Amino acid sequence: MLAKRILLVEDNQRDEKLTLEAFEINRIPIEEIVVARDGVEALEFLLGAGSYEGRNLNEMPHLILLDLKMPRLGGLQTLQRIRADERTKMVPVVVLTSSRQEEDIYASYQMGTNSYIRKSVDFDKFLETIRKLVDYWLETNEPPRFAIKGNSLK
Amino acid sequence: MTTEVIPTELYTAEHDENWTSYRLMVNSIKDYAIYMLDLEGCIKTWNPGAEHLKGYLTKEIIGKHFSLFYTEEAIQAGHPNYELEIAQKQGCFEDEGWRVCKDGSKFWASVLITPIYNDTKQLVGFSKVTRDLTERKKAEESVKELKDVKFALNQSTIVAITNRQGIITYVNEAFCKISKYSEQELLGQNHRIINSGHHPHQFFIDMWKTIASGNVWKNEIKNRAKDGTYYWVDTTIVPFLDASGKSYQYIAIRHDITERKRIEEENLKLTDELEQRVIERTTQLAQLEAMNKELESFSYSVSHDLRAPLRSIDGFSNLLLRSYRDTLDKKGQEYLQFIRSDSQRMAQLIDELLNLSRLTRGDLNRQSVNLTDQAKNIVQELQKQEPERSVEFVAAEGLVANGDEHLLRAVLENLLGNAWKFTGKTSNPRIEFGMMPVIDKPTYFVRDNGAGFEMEYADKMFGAFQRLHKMEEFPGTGIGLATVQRIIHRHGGEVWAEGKINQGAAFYFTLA
Repeated sequence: MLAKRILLVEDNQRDEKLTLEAFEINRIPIEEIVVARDGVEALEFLLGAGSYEGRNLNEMPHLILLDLKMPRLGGLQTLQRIRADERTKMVPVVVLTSSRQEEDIYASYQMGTNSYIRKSVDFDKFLETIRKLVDYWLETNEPPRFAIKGNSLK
Repeated sequence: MTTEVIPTELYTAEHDENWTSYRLMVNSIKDYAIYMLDLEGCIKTWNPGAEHLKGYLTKEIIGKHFSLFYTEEAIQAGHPNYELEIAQKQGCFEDEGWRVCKDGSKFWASVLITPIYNDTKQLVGFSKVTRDLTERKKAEESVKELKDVKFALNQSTIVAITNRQGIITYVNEAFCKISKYSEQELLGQNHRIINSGHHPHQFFIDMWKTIASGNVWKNEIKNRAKDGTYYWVDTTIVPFLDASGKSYQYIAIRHDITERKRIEEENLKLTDELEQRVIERTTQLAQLEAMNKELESFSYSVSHDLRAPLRSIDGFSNLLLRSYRDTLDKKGQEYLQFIRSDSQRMAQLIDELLNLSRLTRGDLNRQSVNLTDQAKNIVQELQKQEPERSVEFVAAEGLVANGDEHLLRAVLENLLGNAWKFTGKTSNPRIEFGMMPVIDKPTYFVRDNGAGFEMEYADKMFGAFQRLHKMEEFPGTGIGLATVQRIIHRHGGEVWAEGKINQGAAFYFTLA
C-alpha cells in the first residue's frame, strides 16, 4: 500500500471511473483518491472549506490530477489559485486533459503546472500513462516535504 | 421746331421765286442737316434737319464755328479746317465719322462739304450736308461682330448646322477634324453617320422633341469617328426659329470632352473597382472572422468535448473485454449503457455544433414575428414532452418583433427550454415571458424561478459548451445559450442574464 494521497479534479463521471479503473488495473494501491468535481470543490478540499470544513490541512495530496474544462471554476483558474496560496503552492500538479490546444498547454505551464498530459482515447495507452505517471510522481519523484511551514506531509 | 431758318441778310439779298422754292425745299428736309459755312467755317444757315440731328436751335448756332460738331480728337488733329481745305482743293470733301450733338452724344455721320463760289468765281463759303448713319454703322458693326463671333466659334468649337430634317447643311473644320470625315462626306448626311450606339434610342428622341419644339437641348454625346474611334462632345443644340416661331434649322455647338470623359470613366472604374474590392475585402474579413470563430469552437470541441465520449466508449468497451469477457452481468450491462448514452451524447454534440455553425451562414430574413404566439407554442410542446410536469407559464400578450422567424424561434426554444429544464426540481415552478417597460428599445425577457446561477458566471454561460451545472443534475450540451447569443448578435441585439442560486434566472434580449 502506497501511503499516498491523490486529488483527482474531474467533472466527467466516466472519466473519473475510467481513471479509477486504470489505478485498479495497474494494481496501484493508493491510500486515498479524493475526487473533486470542479475547481471550486478542489479548492474547498485543499483549503478545508465548504463540505471539507475542518479537514486536517496537514494531509495534503501528494499529487493533483487536474482536468482543464470544468463547470464553475476551470482547471487553469484552479491551478492559479493553488499556486497563489502558501499552503498549496508546492503540491505537484499534473494537468490531465483532453485538450491539445496550444493555448491550453502554454497557459498551464504559465500557471505553474508540473506536467501536462493529454488523455488518450485509446484506453490501453491511458493505462500505460497512469502507470508511468504514478511511477514517476509518486515513486521516483521526491515530493516537497513541507507544503505547510513547520508541518511535514505525511 | 423753329420757323426762322434762313438768315435775314440772305433772305433780303436774294429775294425771288427761286430762292423761295429753294428755301422751302431745304427747310422741309428733316433727315439731312444742310447748312452753310462762311470762309472761316462759321455757320451761316441752319435747317430743321440740322436742328433735328445736332440739337442746336438756329439762334444759338448761327455764327458759331462748325468745329463745335467735331470730337476732341478730330479738333486736335485739325480736322475741321483740313476738311475745308480739301473741299476747296478737290471740289468737295466726303467723309464718315463721329460727330457731336449739343447734348454731347455722338452719331456716325456721312459728311459732304462743297465749296460755294459767286458769279465771279470767288469762294464765298461752303455747303455742308450731314446724314446720320449711326444705324447703318451699328448694323455694319453687328455684322462684323457676328462674323468675328462666328470666326471665334469656328476656331474654338465644333459646329454643325442641320436643317429641319436633320440633314447636315454646314460643318466647320473642327467638326471634320474630330469626326475624321471630310466636309463632302458629311454634307447631306444626318448625324447617324457619327452615332456610336452608346446612347439609347430614347436619348435622341428626347433631343428631337426638345429642339423641334424650339428649345435649347444640352447633353453629352458619345460619337464615333470615321476610323471607328469614339469621342465625347458636350453638345448644345440651338434651334433657329422662323417668323412663326417654328424651328427651321439647328445649330449644334460641341466641345471635345473625350479626355474629361476618359478620366471620369477611369475614375469611375477605379472607384468601382475600389468599392468592389472594399466590399470583397469586408465580406472576406467578415467571413474569415466567422470562419475563424467557428473553426475555433469546432476544433476546441473536437479536441475536447467530442473526445471525451469517444474515450468513454473505448474505455468501457475495453473494460468489458477485460473484466467480463465470458459473462455480461449487471455491471457489464451498465457499462454497455454508458457506451450507448455516450454515443448518443456525441451524436447530439455533433448535431448541435453543426447547428451553431449553420447559424452564422444564410440570410437573415427579417419580418414581423409574433413572439407571444411562438412562446406559447413552445411551452405547449415542452408540456407535451413532459405531461407529468405542472409549470405555471405567463406570457405577455401581443409581443411582436422584427426579426427572422426561424431564428427567433430557436432563441425562444432555447431560453424557454432552459427555463423548463432548470425549474425541474423547483416546487411551484413558474416561467414568464414578457417585455420590459420600454426605455429606448424593446427588451424581452424569459424569467424562471428555477435553479438559477451565480452572477459571477453570467457571462461565461454564453460561450459554446459552457455549463454551470453538473451533468447529473441538469443534462445538456452547453450550446443553447451560445446559439441564442449568436442569433441575437446577428440581429444587432444584445443578450444578458441575471440569476441567483436557487432563486431563478432571467434572460434579457434586444433585437436591434
